[in-house]
Amino acid sequence: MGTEDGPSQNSAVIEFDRELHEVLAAHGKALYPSRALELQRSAASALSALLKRSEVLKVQAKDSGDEDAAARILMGECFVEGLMASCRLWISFREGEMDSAWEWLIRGQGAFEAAIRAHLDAPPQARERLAHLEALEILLFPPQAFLSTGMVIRQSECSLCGCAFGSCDHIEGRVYDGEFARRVVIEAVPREVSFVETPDDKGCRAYTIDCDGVNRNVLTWEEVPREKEHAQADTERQDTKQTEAS
Amino acid sequence: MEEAVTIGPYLAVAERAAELGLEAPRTLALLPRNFESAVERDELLDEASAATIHQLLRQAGLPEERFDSPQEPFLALAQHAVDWYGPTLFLSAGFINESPLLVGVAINLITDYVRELFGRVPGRRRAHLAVVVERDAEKESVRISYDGEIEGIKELLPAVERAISDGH
Repeated sequence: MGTEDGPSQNSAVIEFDRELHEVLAAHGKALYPSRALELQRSAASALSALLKRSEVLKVQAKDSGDEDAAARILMGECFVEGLMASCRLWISFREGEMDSAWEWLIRGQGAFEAAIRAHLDAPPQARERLAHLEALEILLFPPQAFLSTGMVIRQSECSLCGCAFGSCDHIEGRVYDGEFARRVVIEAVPREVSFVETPDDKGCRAYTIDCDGVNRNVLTWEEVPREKEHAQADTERQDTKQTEAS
Repeated sequence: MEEAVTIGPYLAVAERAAELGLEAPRTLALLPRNFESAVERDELLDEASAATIHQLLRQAGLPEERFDSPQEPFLALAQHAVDWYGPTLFLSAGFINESPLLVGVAINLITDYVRELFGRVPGRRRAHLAVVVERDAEKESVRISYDGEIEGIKELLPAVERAISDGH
């Protein structure tokens, strides 16, 4: 993946770029929605494999003490995750699995956003693809009722060093050794749930709606037996995780 | 264009702190989100972002005074909205008089962090940050609030500087 600032000289970054070019040369044509389903499945698998490979290369970059190289590979890793999620979005969409398609859509949005934040030299393609996915959210799916949970954090820690959050020198959102510093909430008390227009997590939404006494899936408008609705949200999220892991 | 910066009166921070059994800050401090309304100290609640702002101020070597302690921080409210909700930064009259240059350093530290985090990402995310300027320890303060697009948060510092110069 080229960057605005030119290529890195780190061997792990060079290797990552080479492998990404190979995957895109072999599978890039499958990233369009009209392409054959089998080609899209093959592309998604290749991108998932590259995602795993990037973890190894990132460790190499970290071990060489090149923090910038590790951040560049994180950026590439997020970009590949975005491509993989975009590909799986179309697969799920064509298979009629709309809840799953939605999960891949928001995962792709999050991944491209992370790529942009991971390094100052994020390629313009990350912004373009994020814009595509935001457009698809409006074009492919009906408006959603998003929920936001307000909670009081009692205990949290730093994702990188495990110290009490705020007591170390890792600043939330910044990249250290190829990883984002995050806040890991250990203990929290829910305070309220609100309907919001712009949630932090677009996966937090109403899955079904009661319309004239009929319980319907918000995305497909198909009737959903009430006993199934509670399990639906968990199942869909589980599916996206398992598909990616495989 | 929407007016993102608003200015309004704020209560006397030193008096309010005393009511809650807290020591009045003599330099700069972060005010809990319910500082105005809490009945007692144990009710005080920070924005989730406050912990990170404490870190930034500490790393920059700025003379922050905390109502809580790093070992026992206030509980924090996570809103899980896409917007960034910052804490309220309090600047005491003494701090403004003695270290006027550090006013800009402290505010830029926060606004640069917000822009670093979200400024390159397109979208509808907004930022919310307020600064309370103490004009006199005995009188009410002024609160300058920013609620708008991420990039526009840099407008907060000039607004604070104007509020400070208007008070002299």
